[in-house]
Amino acid sequence: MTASAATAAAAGTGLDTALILTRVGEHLAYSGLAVGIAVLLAVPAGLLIGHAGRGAWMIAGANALRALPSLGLMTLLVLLLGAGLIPPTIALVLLAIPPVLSHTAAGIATADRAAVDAAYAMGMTGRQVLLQVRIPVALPLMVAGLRSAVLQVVATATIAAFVNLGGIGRFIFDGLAVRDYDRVVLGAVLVAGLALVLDGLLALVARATAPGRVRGLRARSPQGSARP
Amino acid sequence: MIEFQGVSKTYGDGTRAVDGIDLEIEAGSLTVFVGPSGCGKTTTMRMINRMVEPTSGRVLVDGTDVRDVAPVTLRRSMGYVIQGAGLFPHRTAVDNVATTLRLAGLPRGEARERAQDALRLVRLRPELDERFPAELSGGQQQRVGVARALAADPPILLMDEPFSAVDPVVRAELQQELLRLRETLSQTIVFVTHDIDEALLLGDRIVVFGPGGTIHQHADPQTLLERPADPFVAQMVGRDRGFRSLGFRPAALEVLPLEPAADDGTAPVPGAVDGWRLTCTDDGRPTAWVRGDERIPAGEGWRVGDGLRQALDAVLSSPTAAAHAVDDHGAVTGWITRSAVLAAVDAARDPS
Repeated sequence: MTASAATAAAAGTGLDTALILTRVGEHLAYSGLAVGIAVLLAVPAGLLIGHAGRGAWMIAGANALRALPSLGLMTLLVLLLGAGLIPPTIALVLLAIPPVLSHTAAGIATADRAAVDAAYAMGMTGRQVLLQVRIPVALPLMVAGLRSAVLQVVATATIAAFVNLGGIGRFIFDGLAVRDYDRVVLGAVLVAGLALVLDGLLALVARATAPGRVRGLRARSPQGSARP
Repeated sequence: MIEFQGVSKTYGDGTRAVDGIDLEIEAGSLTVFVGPSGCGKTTTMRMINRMVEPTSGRVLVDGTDVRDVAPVTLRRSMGYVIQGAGLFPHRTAVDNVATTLRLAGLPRGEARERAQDALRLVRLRPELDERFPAELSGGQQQRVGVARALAADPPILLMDEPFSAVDPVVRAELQQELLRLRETLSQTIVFVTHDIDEALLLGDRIVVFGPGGTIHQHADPQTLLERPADPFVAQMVGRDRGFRSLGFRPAALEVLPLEPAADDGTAPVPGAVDGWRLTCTDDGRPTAWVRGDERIPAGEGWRVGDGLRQALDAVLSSPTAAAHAVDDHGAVTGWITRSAVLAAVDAARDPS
């Protein structure tokens, strides 16, 4: 449905498919970069907070940063650092960190207490408990945090166009500039469609990581040979 | 042997969970810690594998202070079963059990093989091996939990209310399973429960904990029932303690021989003048007492080798002056008379 809507909007603007694909590719690249950096920063921090019970202030700090408007923050960064990829990336990373951080920390800290207790009691080291019990059990919640981050970043990555970068935001800002509203609608539909598709994919990942709920995937392989 | 020497545990807020406990747990025994909740029995047990560190005093295992052993090493030498099993939700039954073996350094294939042996030992059906905990019933999960603790064959097994999260029928099954396992295993078992009946059923030795983390009595079940140390223990063991104590008295009763069955398939009761007869199935199991039109379902009778309590119950449940004695398969082998059982009770309770 979104695809046909996009095609209809594209027909009205005279844009070719190759350009649309390029813009979508750019959009995915900005989003992927920002989410990737956020994951690299927030997952280890979340593991530390959840496992060691220290550094909970980081969650409060990250949530406070969420209150900054991304567009305003990016504009400020452009003034300080100059144009380029860095200002929008920082703005998007700050947007993606809070959900990943808080979901990871909460998932690790509240992972099945009885299983964690049993793991220590059978003689696992703290590291083994984290890797073999807490992370696998917390994985669905961690993926939920990632989903939330991806949705927000993909929706917000349009701001990159505001500082003369590419991405789907180009259609929106350019369309507004020349009052070509078909083009604005195309951009909006593309962003929404992309967010939905990515969210759907991550929902499948979340299902596959749910502990003890992968029967459907395992059933097709010979018993005992499929290991997650 | 596990020894507690003047062990106390006080928490930061001043709460005293365990108060100056001295205790010796014999190697190879099944020692039950029993008491109301919040009396320090779980805390005391968790000091054995250093899941809790005592505030003062020493805990020795085979003469070695547990503080001299690294917690990880110490814990790997002890099996631990917790309430509700505490299985890893992301691992199948067999992989849950294999975890302890992998920690002991076994390669994957061998660990899974021995895990399967352990699951057979606790009688989990093989088709459940590859199921996840969420796909198992509470009783099955608990069997997996016991197998996981036993798999690495540790000399000490710690069990923290292992059967209290399952329904009474399954609990009775698991209790029998533990008693059966005890016949083949030589582990020292420390078992925590708040259920005095479970303690009396399972324990060779019972330690009664009271409020404030103190020990009221440490004795075998029979002594606990016959000579409770104080009113707290007497109240704890409950109302029928006199009757229940008979269960720990061996009943050396004469089993009178069966007489040939009559043409109608019933066996006459020796010495009975009131005409009751017992009917049996073809393989000798008792079915009912009959006299004329009257028909009363026959109980299990008295299994040869059971205690006086079972014998007394059998003769009191029978409508006549004798009860049937059965073998291990439940087939009738003879008779015991009420007067003989009462005489045995009389002899057992005679102050000596």
